[in-house]
Amino acid sequence: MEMAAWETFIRSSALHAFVRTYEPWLWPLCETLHYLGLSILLGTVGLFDLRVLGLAKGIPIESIHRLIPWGIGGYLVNILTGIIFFVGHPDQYFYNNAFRLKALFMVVAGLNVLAFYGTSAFRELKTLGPDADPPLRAKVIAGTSLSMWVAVLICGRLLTFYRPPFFH
Amino acid sequence: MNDRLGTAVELIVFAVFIAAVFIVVMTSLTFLSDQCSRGTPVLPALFPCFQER
Repeated sequence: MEMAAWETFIRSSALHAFVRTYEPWLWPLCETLHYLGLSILLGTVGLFDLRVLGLAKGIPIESIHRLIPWGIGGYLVNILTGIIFFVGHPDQYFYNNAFRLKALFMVVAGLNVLAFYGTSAFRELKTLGPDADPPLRAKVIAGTSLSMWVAVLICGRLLTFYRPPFFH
Repeated sequence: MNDRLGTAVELIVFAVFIAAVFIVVMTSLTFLSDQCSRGTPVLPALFPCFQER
């Protein structure tokens, strides 16, 4: 089969040439940043999810929520470094079911964020005191969020093992 | 003592949770690979079989 038009386009881009030229240092740098980004994302959003699920009840939910901008920062770092990975070796990712599963989990995580901030779930949490038990709806959203981000992490780690047979 | 026990239980629950998510992901990927080997892909629009480009 011929190479798809979108792949030919990416492979002819300046960013692809840049990534491949400086790959020996750029790839490890981006892997490191990607790892840090995910650590910050899970360390803040995951901590918030655990608090909503009932862990460390003495800490006010709103206090932990102040860390969420750090999680968004980590997410943005991962989007940027993820784009560099994809542009550098598009076949390794596009023709890889671990990557597709990872993307699917990210979409569900995104919809879950909309369900959290787009409904009254977040407003209900903000009014709770330090030791209050969050409502069930908030717990379901937090449980979904934690599951999706852990699944994204696992799929990311498994990408290498599900490369397409023609990848070199 | 109760606090330590509580933390230990929370850690065990968390470890079981991570293991459960890992099993779900691995089972899904293995299932997709197996279905491709049998020539009966599931949801090929989302998860095609990549034998050749």
